[in-house]
Amino acid sequence: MTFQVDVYQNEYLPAGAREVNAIVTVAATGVATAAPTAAAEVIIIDCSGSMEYPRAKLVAAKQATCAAIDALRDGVAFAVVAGTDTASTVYPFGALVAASQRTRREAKAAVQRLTSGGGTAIGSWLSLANTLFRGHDNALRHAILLTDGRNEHEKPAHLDRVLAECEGRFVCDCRGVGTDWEVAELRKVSTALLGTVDIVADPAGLTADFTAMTADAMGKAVADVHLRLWTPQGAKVRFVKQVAPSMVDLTGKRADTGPRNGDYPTGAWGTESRDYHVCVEVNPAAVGDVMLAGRVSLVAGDEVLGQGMVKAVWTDDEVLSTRISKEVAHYTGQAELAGVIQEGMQARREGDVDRATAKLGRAVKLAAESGNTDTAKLLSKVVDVVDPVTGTVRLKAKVSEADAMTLDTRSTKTSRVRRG
Amino acid sequence: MPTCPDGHDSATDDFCDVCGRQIGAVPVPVVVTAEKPCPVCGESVVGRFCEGCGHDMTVAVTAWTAVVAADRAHFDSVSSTDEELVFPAVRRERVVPLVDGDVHIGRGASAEIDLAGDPGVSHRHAVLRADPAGGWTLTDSGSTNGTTVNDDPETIAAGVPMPLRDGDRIHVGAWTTITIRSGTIRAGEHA
Repeated sequence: MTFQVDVYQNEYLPAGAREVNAIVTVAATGVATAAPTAAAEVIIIDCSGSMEYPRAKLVAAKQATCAAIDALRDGVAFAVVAGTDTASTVYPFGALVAASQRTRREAKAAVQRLTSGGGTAIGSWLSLANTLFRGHDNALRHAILLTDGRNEHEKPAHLDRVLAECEGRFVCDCRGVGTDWEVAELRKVSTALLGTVDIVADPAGLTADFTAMTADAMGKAVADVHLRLWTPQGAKVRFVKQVAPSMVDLTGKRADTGPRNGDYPTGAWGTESRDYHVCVEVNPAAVGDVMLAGRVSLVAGDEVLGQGMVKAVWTDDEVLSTRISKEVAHYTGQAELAGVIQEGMQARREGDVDRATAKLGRAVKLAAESGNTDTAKLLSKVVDVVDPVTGTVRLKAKVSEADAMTLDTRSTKTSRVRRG
Repeated sequence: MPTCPDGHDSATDDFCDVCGRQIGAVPVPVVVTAEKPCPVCGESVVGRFCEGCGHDMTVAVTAWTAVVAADRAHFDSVSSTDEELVFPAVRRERVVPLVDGDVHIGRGASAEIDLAGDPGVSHRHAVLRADPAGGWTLTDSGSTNGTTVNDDPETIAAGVPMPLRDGDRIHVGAWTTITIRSGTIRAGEHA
């Protein structure tokens, strides 16, 4: 695979300015080597008592799991875990098993026999997955977690501790079925484990979603890719965020890897492209000087897959220094968009109509300006848009719980900057 | 191993892997601070602060100077019975920085502005004195022929300080005019 790294920025700064912003786009292309990359997959199904209400949930979850098993390519090590207030393997017993016609058939039969009962303790489910992945360090490690409820049967501190243990060990995509689960809770899991989070309001949609997720996981070719950021002596990294396809703040995930170098985990890559916003504070140099404010490398192990440079040039020319990079402006807007949706929905839940109206109005304006039509559509199910240009909105009197949760869950989805 | 303009050894050869400066860029000139006279006390200063008076060299001050010249117009206006008095053929202009304390106008080594060539100047003719407000005054010391200022034909009263302004012309002796200059300058702009 080749990693094409491009940097978009206005490198010109006025004299004395310290803050350097850049959008770094990474496009991974090409196919993996002839031999498919080793992969390991754990599917975690919520089997708590509530999955029976309505019964369609468990039925759909079983179907979806079977579809995911069918989507595993031969040789992929896999397991299915049933989660309640504890966790147990449904298939196989003990260690992961390689996917084959026989093991797929046996796994699907075991899934069909699943019954529900008990509570929800997501930390213990992830803990078991982490144990199962042991010994598969060189493989792409991916988990799917499906739940329909809140993490009620363990202390939040326990989940936090497990997440800390699992970080960097495997990627986990999370799905909430129905509307009785907590968006913030699942987002915490997916953010920590570099996966996606989404709502499947209608259980009937689970099969297609699981198939797509598994296919996506199977399409990954390089595991454990890090974004390495070098910054000059005396510089301070203000933030590193993934800004497309979704907003993920990586700043706190930094691991120092040598003098002036830090690594930020990005998980596994297939043929895809992601954008990052890097913001660095440097010691200003003299007018006319060119400085390297950051060197961004995508690394897997010791191999550098691609590299881009973030520069700073100090100038007296205001025409140059006041220009705003279109890419930086766009993603700064997308970050604000995600923030105001979450704040607006929080205010709405708390019954603060004025604040909710102001925040969601701002969101409508930002979504319209940036051409984020998906988010604009979701917003229009929660507010009546009077004028998208000014962001004048009224909260809808009746909003389905599914629509409200969908907007909250997908608030971090960003639109790409329009080129040209 | 490449070295950056700031002297760091760098493993990378495009930009310094220590400070980020471009390798091969022109080094920033090392500023050697030249000695400058302090505009307040005249001490020779290296760096920002004068060791003589503590003056901050980056702060602008008002500097006063006296420009001493033989003045034909003044010579012609002086009524003299001495037929042998001849306007000097060689005229030299002197610039005397007015720094501090008293600057004596007279004839002989005791005068800072020594006008030995001008027979109309008394030994102790007049004094230029810094006043506490930062300006300068002129006082006639009881000279024989007196002191006039600008176009006023009347001599100034002896012993009475007269405030000076930029451009004032002090006429003494047979042909000497001392022009007072004051202006805001920074130390570095001294000639």
